[in-house]
Amino acid sequence: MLADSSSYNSPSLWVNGTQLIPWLRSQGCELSIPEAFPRFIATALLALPGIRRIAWKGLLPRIRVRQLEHLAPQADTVIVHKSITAIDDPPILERRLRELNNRIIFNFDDATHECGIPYLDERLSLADAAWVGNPLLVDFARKHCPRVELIESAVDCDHYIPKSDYALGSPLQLCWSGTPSSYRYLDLLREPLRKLGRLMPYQITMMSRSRFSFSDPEIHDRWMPFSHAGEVALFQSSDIGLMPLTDGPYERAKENYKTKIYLASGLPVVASPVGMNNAFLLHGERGMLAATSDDWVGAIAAFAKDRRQRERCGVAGRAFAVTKYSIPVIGHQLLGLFNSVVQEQVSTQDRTSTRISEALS
Amino acid sequence: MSSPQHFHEETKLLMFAKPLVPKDDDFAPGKQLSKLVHDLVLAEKSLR
Repeated sequence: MLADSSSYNSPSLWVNGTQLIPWLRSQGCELSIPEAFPRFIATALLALPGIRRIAWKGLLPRIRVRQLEHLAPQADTVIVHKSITAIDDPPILERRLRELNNRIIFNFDDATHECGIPYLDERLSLADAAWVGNPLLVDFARKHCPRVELIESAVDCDHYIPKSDYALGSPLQLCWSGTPSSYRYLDLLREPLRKLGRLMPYQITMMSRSRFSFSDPEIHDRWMPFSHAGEVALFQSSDIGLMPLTDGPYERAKENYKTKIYLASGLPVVASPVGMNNAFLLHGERGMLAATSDDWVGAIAAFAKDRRQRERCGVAGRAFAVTKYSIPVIGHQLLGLFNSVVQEQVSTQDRTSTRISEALS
Repeated sequence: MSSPQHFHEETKLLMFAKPLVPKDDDFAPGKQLSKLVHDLVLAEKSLR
């Protein structure tokens, strides 16, 4: 059973694995992502009080060992995205995978080492190669892994269709789409949104998997449950996408996927000048950067008043997304990495066979 | 661009990923019960 972006799989697995399956298949490469449990069994297990820890810490590793021993020998290469079990577990199964003589490629997208979560360095040291999507993560990974490539997370530009109508909504429509772990960054918008309300009418829509509200009478917000199709519709009907981010070591190492999907959708973006946002937006070219509360209000108001600027940034952002990180562009970079690791494995096996033949003759 | 000639034929990649550790508030009894029923219905349909 293949993973999806359901209840207990992370969105980053969707981004870095699941969404690539059809394109990889079209290139002669079959990517399988075994789920630990069928979803309804996981739900049933986890619905029982006290069973969550037993399931994740007791049952999951046992299932993963069986999957490793059954499936890994048949694969040309095994990719580990973050961890085979929970991310704070010691890399025991990664060591077992190493014993199975498979080539291992590691991928991660968060600077978990900056949050005090251990073992990222050990997991990297067990891999033959790794790919990550932020230069700061590349620097960290190269200390522990012999081969690390900078390959950004792909965005499905066929799914995120470009916005075609840049007429202003009535009132101005702002949007934000993200995971509950990013709610803490929304607080950066609190003061700017209060100020904006005194200048012009607006509505901000937040889309996520669990309900969120600013709970502030001065902020005109609404929440919508996340769905892949609903997110596209939200971006089509919005005027500006917002991407607030605090400035810290963890945030500077993020891939800022939210900014990327806004750009792919041709949506004008206002974002914090943190990490990769600076390069993505090139202030004024594909969006606007806002550091202070007044910057946020000024940038949103400037976009609201100027349709040509909204359209110019939106069109430039879409073109940037298609040429820099659409699925075929990133897919070919990944194929190059996968291919080199597989070929290395083949040539190593050939050399070993030659040495055995020479020894026997 | 779409030519796969350089690539090893029928390459099989296997990917393991950490399951998302659920938060306590994801498992409120009512929420879970309705989701369980929904998933069981889907599973039953898929078996037909």
